[in-house]
Amino acid sequence: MAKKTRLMTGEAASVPISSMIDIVFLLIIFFIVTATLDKDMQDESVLLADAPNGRPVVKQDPRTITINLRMDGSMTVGGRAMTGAQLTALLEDVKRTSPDPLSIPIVIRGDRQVQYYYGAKVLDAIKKTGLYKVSLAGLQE
Amino acid sequence: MARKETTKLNPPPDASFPLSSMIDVVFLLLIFFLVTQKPVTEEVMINVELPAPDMSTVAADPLIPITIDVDKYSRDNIDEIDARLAALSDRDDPNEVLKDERLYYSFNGSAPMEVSRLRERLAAVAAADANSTIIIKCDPNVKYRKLIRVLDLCSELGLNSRQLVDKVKPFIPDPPPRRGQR
Repeated sequence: MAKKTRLMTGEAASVPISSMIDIVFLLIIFFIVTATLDKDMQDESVLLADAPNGRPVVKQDPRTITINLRMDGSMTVGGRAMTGAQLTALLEDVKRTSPDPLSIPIVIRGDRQVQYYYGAKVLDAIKKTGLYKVSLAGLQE
Repeated sequence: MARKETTKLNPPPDASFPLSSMIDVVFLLLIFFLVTQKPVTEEVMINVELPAPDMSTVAADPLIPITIDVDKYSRDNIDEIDARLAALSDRDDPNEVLKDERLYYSFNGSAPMEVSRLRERLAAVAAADANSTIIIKCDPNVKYRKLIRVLDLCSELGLNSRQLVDKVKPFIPDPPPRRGQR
């Protein structure tokens, strides 16, 4: 008799809300952290050129080296400013230390307004090291 | 009667937090972050190949050089064009300013031509052999955008070939055709 009364009160039917909140907060923190990690490689001040027929990035190699080329011709790699000589040194380092250096993709994110003079300097630095898997980034509307 | 009043004034203590409304807010936050994380415009890639120092690896392929050059008008007015571009806000379309900037493309050593003509010539190349190697030589004075435009043109026409990017010494092209020929 007592058992029946307890069933009717419906106490046990409530959703475990507090544990659900735990999971939701975990999800939020996960997304915040991964979003900021992504942005580390990309310089926000670079406005890419339009390339409506480019190939969308399906799955990016985690080893990708992203070189940002700003409007004023300055370069950043992974959030650090670099000169042409420093970039060459970095690429040489990568080439020496990684097991399969020629398959490492290099992405150049050049601002649409930057003069090709600066782009050519980046390409020259890459060319010197012998790495050749180069792509140029553009924007698709 | 008096007893009922007392009950109303002192309801049973309800210490529970308003959890369901809190979950609503949290889900809203979650959806906000999911949506804002995805950029509005998608970043795409155009693969290029850099010329080998001795060019021996590409010697077997027919090479089709395209030269991108800035004409004398743009070269003389590059500061003015830059200033107008710098004055634009993010929402303005830079092409509105740049339509004055006349740029010429030279195809396989031909006289400078507009991008629409270049497109026709490239389409003919693509129809003949989609695997032909194309060398793009770019004037250092040219904006990076122009290089991307030619590369984009190549991928639009289905030229799945290797595109080599190189720089060329600037030269003054032939006198540009009159405006309105575009």
